[in-house]
Amino acid sequence: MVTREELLKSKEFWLARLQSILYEQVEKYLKDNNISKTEFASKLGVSKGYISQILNGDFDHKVSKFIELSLAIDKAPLLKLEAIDKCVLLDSIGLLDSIQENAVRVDISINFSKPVKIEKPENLIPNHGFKKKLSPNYRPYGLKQFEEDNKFMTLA
Amino acid sequence: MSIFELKKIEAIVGKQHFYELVIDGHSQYEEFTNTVKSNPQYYSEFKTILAYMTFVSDLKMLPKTKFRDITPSKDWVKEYEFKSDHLRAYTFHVEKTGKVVALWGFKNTQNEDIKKFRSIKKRYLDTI
Repeated sequence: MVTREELLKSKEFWLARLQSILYEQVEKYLKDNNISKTEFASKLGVSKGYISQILNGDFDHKVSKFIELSLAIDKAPLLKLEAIDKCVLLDSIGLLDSIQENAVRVDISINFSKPVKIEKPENLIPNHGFKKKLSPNYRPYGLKQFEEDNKFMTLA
Repeated sequence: MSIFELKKIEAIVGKQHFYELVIDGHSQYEEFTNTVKSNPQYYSEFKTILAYMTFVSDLKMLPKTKFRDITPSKDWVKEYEFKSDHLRAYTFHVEKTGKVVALWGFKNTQNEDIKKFRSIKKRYLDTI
């Protein structure tokens, strides 16, 4: 069985995704501007077959062609390379499309090497991890080091 | 009478659910996965079809060459075919459930597979 992670880490998924986005965008452009495939082919200086290939979801050409095509439909070909593990994580919470759509910006920083602690350092005895009533004169030992170790808690 | 079970396809995540149809404990999806796994070309196309299913589950548009409505006229349960160069997947839509992938097959057995798919679909619908 193919797992979701295996699918997301496959070239087939991303190629099919790119091809379907191009298909959707070109189709929309032709419809919105009432342009035929022949007229669009002539505008791009390519054959009608080439346009049909895009509209069949089979675009697999050079990067320069991808750029020409994007510009021909009045779009900038923004390319973003994102960590695949982040994509898998965003997908698991239904936010994979947020990478593509700039309308929603999601910044997630996760440090997997340490557990996240949310208690305030002042209320803790360092290295014990539980709350204790402190005397007014109590000076936490190693507080500075504790804060250094927990810098990752800061949310961007 | 056969026992049908709908099992969610884990690889497909989106707004609409996709299920494999397990008949009398037999998963044709699992069997087909094992068949194509030994052939790199087929396995690649198999993953491409799963990607297409993901886009459809997210209500995205796909070209008719990849995904098309094959519902016979006067039939009220919609049928769809997913296509790659050599592979096919046949699904039908169940209201308030999602898409049921009833059969996977090859391009060269398309006609027999569609007949088989419609027979499975009918048997399943008769049970609900």
